[in-house]
Amino acid sequence: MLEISDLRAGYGRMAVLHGLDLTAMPGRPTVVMGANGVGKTTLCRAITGLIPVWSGGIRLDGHDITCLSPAQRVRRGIALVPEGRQVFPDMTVRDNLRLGAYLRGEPGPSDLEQVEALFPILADRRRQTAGLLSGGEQQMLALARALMSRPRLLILDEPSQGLAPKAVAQVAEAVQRISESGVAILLVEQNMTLAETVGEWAVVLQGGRAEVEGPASTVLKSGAVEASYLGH
Amino acid sequence: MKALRMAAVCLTALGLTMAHAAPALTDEILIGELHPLTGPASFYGIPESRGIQLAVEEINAAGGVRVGDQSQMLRLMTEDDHSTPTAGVAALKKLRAADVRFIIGPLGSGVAPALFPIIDRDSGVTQIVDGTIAEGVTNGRNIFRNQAAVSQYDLAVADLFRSKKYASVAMMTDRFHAGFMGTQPALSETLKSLNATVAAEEYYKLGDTDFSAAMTKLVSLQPEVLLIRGYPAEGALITRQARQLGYEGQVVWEMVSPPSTVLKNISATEMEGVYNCIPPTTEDYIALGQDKALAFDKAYQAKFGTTPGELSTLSYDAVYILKAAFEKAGSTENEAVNAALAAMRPEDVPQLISGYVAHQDGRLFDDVGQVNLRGAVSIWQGEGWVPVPDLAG
Amino acid sequence: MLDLFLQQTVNGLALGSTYALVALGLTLIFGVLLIPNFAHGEFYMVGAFLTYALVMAGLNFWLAMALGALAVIALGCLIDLVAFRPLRGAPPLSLMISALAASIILQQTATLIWTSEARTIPTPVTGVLRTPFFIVTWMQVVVMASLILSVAAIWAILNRTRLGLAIRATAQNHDAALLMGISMVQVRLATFAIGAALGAIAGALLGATFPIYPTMGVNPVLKAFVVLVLGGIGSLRGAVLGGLFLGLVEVMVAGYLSTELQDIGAFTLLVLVLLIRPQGFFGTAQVER
Ligand SMILES: Nc1ncnc2c1ncn2[C@@H]1O[C@H](COP(=O)(O)OP(=O)(O)O)[C@@H](O)[C@H]1O
Ligand SMILES: [Mg+2]
Repeated sequence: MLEISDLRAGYGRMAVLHGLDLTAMPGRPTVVMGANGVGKTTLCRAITGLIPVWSGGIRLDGHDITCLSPAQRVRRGIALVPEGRQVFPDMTVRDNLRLGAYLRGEPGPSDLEQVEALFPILADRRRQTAGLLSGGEQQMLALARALMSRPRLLILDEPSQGLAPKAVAQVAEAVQRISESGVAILLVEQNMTLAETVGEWAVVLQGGRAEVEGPASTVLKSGAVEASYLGH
Repeated sequence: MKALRMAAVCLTALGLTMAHAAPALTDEILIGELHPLTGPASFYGIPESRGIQLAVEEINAAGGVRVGDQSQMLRLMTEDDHSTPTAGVAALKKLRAADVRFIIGPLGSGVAPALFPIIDRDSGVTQIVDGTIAEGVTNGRNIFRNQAAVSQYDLAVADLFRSKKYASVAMMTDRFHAGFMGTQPALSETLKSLNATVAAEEYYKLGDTDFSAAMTKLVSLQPEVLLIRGYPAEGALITRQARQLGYEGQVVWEMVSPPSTVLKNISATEMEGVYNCIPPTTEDYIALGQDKALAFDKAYQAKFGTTPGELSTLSYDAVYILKAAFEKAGSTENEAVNAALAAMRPEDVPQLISGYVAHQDGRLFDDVGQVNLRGAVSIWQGEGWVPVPDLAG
Repeated sequence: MLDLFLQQTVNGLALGSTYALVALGLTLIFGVLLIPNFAHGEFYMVGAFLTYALVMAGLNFWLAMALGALAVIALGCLIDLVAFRPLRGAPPLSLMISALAASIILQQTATLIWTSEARTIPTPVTGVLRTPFFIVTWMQVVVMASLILSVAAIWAILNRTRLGLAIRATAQNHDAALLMGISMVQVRLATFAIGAALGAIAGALLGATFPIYPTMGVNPVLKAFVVLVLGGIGSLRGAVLGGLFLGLVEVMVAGYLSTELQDIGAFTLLVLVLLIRPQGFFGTAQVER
């Protein structure tokens, strides 16, 4: 459903992605791995339209979306759980969730019930300010917020960052359930445990390209990931 | 970067509106004028500049200036001083660089003191100040002024206090007005010597809008007179706020304040009975039906499509004073022109509109180059100022 | 003595509400879009002049004010379009220079149209309210009431509408707001429209109390920036309380120390607040975004 071909993007004059190819589809959660600064977040921002693409194409269900605004991409079913969670800190949990459904108008009670069933902690914290939640709770909120737009492709940028192992396990479980419900998953991770639990397909970024690609079970054990960290 | 470039373009565009000079021809006399043509003070500066243009055109149309046995035309070079000292000094340098040796201006009481030390030491230039009323900006050698000095305004204030025997006064003075600030201590002493208690001396600045703190204090002191020294927009505002807070004493203004401006800021009823102590201005001469003033008004309106400003006639007079000096001196050398100015008598310049009074020795300018243009008391009645001829009553 | 103090307090609150009224629009635009909009003073000035022109043409003051505000809303959106939108993502200094350029151009244009002569809009409500303890003009009461109404209106827009939700989200996290599908064009338009309308209303009301002239906006905007620093940038409550506080301090300094110290008092206060509590009384420490 998501096909990226020969993607180039960067900041100012500095190119970060130099011709990257990648696909993602429902039923085959894809993990993207790679060293710090290799351009994983840049990739997420390019797919969601937060930064412009220099060349190459991003297609969703066969339609070119390279030139669409972020809002138009959300409308077509792309949602991002950004790096560092990026919840709206001074708003209540409920308002954060309402914003997740912004393009659909006001969320119905069933939407809220659904995400609150997935993350019971959010139901208890409905009226609390998001900035006061713990890191794990904020991650749940960011995930729940992304689900409120009813995405067909969910991108997660290092959701395990700064979380305790128990919280990482919760995230893993939630992502698996979302995947099972038919949502395509693109998971950017450096946490091996999470990558192994969730991923069925793995891509290793190096030098701004997808250097190694294959079934997660083989790629993650092949040493390609470690090699990429060492810059080979 | 884009923003910087854009800002630079805008600022340059604004800068381009300034005047440009061309070199002087020998059979012309180059006269430089220095007034605020942009910014808030341009409201006073532009009508002054126009008064000068009008006089120069009249003189040239009538055959120019007779210097010795030869006629010379006047040529005008206009510079904008933005009514700030820095722009004023820069404008003066520009005029001098173009070899301008006769200068009329400036208006601002901040600008004149900045120019004074430069011109005072420059024997190659003659200046007639036609705007500011600040003290100490003339020298009687090469700097003269055909506008009143603040101390002459103050004389009218003293006349008023003497005849009305006011027992107490509070003063509100624009502290950015170098002229009024300069005579504040002397005026305060004068009023005390006339047996008036000075209950308070408060200060504000041009552009201030809230005077409630000072007015509250003032109302609690209940002085017989509230004396306001500055510009009319603030004068109107202070008068209004004092009345609103319950002040019932006499309000006295000491400021150039044409009724048209006053009425844009306060209603006629609120102004009723306010005194003003200043020399007559263009509007007053026109209202008095003086022939030369009426002719000037007509010519000005025909040329510029609006009524003249209150200082327009002073600027107009300044050009004719210079012309008379060139003709008397029979030369355009600064030294000779300066001597002619120093010796000049009011009757030597029949075109003068303003009512200059000769000094005791019969001269127009005294030893420091100051004309005698004494302040007079007028009172607001109905829609404007009316002279109060007999203060003894 | 005591009634003098009460009177000075009322004076201070009246002055402070004028500061708060100007600061509201400024803090909104700064808080949501991070634009230091120096041209806010010109929204204020144009609002005052348009109201003046319409009143002089025979219109009722309130109608004139409403029409003036509508025109200034259009002006605000235009300024955003030409001065700020092309600079998205540029460093704050560029935005500031652009804002100053817009402000100068508007001032000069106004000077060409209306000249620099000072004038005052005929007051829609005249007279003075005298109580045993203090005196206040009805116009000052109107200004204070307008402040309360404006705050209530902004609060309602921000907290009770979908657009308000989007505006608040943008203020808190610009990129996350984009990811929610919020249209920045809409948020920018709405923010500038509300900010400009607030500026115009302040201009019309204060132009009926104070003289209006092309550079009348410069001082109030500087004061409003002081208010923002006092109250915390982007905080509406901070703008109101900061404005009232600044008004009180200025009047007390002028009333009990010296009129010459009135402005110095304000800026001393500013420096003190910056030293002791850089984020202002009601601001949260700024997060680098
Ligand atoms: N806003 C930005 N401006 C300029 N360079 C950036 C910006 N964000 C990231 N970079 C640079 O782009 C490269 C890729 O960054 P990023 O995509 O965040 O890497 P990753 O998420 O894989 O750690 C890095 O070299 C980083 O320094
Ligand atoms: Mg990253």
